[in-house]
Amino acid sequence: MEILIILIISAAVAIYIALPFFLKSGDQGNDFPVMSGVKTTAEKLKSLDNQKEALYSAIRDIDFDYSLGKLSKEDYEELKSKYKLEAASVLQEMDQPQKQSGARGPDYELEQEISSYRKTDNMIEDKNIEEEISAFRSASNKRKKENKCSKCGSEYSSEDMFCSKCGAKLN
Amino acid sequence: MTETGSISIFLAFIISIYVLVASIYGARTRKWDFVRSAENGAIAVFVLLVIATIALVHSLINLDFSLKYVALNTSTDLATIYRITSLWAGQAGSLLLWCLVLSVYTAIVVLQSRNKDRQLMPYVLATLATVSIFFIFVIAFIESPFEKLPFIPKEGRGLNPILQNAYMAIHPLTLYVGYVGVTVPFAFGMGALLSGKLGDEWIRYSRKWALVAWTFLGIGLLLGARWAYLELGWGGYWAWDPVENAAFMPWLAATAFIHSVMIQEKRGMLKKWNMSLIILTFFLAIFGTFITRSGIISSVHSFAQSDIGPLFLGFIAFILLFSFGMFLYRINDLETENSFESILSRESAFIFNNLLFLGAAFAVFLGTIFPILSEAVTGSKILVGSPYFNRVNVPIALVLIFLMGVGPLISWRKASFKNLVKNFLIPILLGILTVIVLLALGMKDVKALIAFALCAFVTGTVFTEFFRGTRVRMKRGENFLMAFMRLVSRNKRRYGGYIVHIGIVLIVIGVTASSVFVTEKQATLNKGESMELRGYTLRFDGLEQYTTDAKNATVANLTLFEDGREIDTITPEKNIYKYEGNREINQETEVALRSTYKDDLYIILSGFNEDGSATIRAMINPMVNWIWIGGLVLLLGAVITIWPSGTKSRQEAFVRYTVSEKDTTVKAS
Amino acid sequence: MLKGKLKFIVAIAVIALTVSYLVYGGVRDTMVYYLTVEELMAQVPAVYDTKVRVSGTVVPGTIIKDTNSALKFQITDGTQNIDVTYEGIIPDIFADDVEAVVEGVYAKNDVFEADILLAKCPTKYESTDSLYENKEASN
Repeated sequence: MEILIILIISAAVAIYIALPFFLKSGDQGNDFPVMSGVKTTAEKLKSLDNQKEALYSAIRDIDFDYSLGKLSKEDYEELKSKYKLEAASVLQEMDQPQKQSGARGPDYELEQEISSYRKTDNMIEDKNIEEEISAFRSASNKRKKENKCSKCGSEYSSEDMFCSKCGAKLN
Repeated sequence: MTETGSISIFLAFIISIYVLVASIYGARTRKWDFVRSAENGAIAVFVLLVIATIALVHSLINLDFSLKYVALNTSTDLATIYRITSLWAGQAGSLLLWCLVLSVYTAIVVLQSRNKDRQLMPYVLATLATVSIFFIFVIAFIESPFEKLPFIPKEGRGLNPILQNAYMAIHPLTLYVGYVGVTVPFAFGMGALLSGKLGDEWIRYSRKWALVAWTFLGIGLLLGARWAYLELGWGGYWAWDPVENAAFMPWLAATAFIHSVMIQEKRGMLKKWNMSLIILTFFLAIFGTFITRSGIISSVHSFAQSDIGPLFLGFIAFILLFSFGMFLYRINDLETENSFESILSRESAFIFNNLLFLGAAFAVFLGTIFPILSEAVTGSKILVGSPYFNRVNVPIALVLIFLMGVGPLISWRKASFKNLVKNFLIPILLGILTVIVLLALGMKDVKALIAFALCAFVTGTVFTEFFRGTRVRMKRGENFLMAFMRLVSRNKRRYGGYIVHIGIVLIVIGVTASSVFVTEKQATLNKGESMELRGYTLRFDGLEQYTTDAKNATVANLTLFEDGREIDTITPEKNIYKYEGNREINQETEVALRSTYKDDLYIILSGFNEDGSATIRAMINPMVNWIWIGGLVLLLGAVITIWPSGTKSRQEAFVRYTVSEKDTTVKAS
Repeated sequence: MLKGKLKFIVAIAVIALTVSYLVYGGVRDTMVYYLTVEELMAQVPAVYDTKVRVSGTVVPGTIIKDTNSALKFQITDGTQNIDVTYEGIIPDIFADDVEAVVEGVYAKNDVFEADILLAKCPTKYESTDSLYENKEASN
């Protein structure tokens, strides 16, 4: 009797473990992640999005801390403008690959996914942050357009002293 | 049943090896079906170990004395509930339980994340399988719970009476779930090292599982303390015994880990530190199991001893070498993304918290192994006792409590001096006020004064946090209750953590009061005589004896008066267990405890004489109840912190949101 | 930045040094030699009046309890016996033949004045001898 039970248990366990070899499901092979250092566009976007989220959360944090009186006004403004700057540059970068690969690449789904995630949490606060940052971005873009080398016309950033293209002194 | 049990353990051993091989092979060659098969294997191991455990419990309940384990741990006079709990009274049974708990964790991990993080998971599984292999090997080949005796005795030896206690029934189980639980965050760390995916995922999972293990360890320690308090009869709850230290050390390291993990999540810093911490925590958990199981360090209550010591040492050495080897191999991938901005910031408060927790763990570790160490170095065994542990840990604990108050109100990244003054003014005033009031009440003990002042300070900061957060939300038009509930539910980690801190404060208050202000008195009383004890009077009304199936009990009847008023009757007992088996302990002192929030009256019948007189030992332990209440608050806070968000979609969103937090690439200026 | 880092290093060093000092001082002031009866006797008279911990088996028949729960007994390592006096809580398992651990001072009158008494459950888990006894008794 007991031997029978043992046999049944052993057989059941063996079948259960072997099952995946016979049941080749849809998730087989193709979506098994590639183990290499090269980042796909999707991965890059994902990590950029992570950075964006991180910056948003940092901004949310300092907003909350400021409203709790944990930060002085100067500190708050300094930190906030720093993170806004970072966020703006991350958003800039995120726009670029999308333009190259067109709106409906493999990234399209990812974007959908991300935005659906994002819809669920912290919507109201993020909306405010988003507005602030886009205002900030358009302002800095405008400034950037004005920052053109007087000699060769290439763009430069505000902290440069010499033009990176032609080497002319900037003012 | 017993054959089924031992075969199940053997099968579980074989399959665990298969799980290890198949998951690594599958991950390296990207053959997904192998990984799937390994995952099924992990679940099969769980099922097999459940079968084995059921088989052993079945034998224990039915007192199958042909099994050595049953004969050594039960007897015919044992109640059914204690027949079941004797599953963890002895060596082999405890180890079976260890394996079972680990397989439960493994199965949960597999079921929860088999479709996520496919790079990471196979290696996590492989790590869990490796640990399983070791422990299942021990119960399959060395300490088998299904070992047969060459004969069938008529009666078993029975369970030690001091283990026949409701707390003893759940305390080891809780502690085990905690000990074994540490394996899971460690496995995620190792998974990250092995797969090279050292980004967001492992730390997220590790944090969650470390919290689970931390909670169980903490609650297990408190249950053990309560058991010792009620059952051992010396009036205390903590003696710095090696077995207690064994669970305390991983708890300390895990506390450090769950704090420093936050910095990695928020700021991308301390990656190497966190990885080392989780390896260390796991080492301490295994080392703790080793201490309790091998009996290498003599302890008054290491209940199980055997010769599996060298095997354990080998395993510990392997774990340390392998994990730190992998750590060094991947060290370049663990570069920090940020640097510290200011010493007056939450990050640095956490750093100091970590160093102190590790310092405490180191001190406890050193004290615990000191006899071995000194014998190896000087040739003579030298002990350090409770005074050592108290002397080292009390100052560390006081600074930690201070940091516990500072942490919540100090800001991330950078805090200005002006704001520090503004934020900490009320809590500091509260602390000073406490000192003044206590001095006025005549308290003179400096350490106690500091401890109580710090407790008031921490309570002040935590309430300030709750109050201000609620007020900010109320300004957005929510009513008080809604604002409060949303505040907590929107940031469960933060506010659950604060509730845990309040629990710790309550425990600290209880420990301080009950260790500094004990009143103790012993007297031999004839019938009708009384003894006085700080406002209480105890009148001895004579001895009484009764007999049950299991024991002969002698009861001392005492009437308690407070300020002349009769308030209670108290009946400490001394029991002689009838069973004349071969267990060494047949005598048990039953403590009579009258417990209020103010103090515990702890009364022991330490002896009685033929002339009807009795020797009564009475103690007043102030505020011990606060420790247990603190434990409940701690549990509440921990549950809030761990509690997942409501619906699935929300959970996903929440998880993603957390992931992103750690990838901060903000460069510090 | 460098100044900030220096602050951290100083703070960390202070913590490390403090903990080390606490550990060192704690060990120095609270350490107790753990001896067997034989080792104790070998160190007479140097051992007089220093705090030590001694373990040995309680000699059967030597336990004397007086009514005020002051306790006298002898412990042995098989060859030599020492007298012990103790006052305080007596562990439940304390009895003849149990392994007792006493901590206290070996006084000049050759009596060990203990202020801590621990009794250890004999290592029972590996021994099935008692079950054999049981078998004989029941047969």
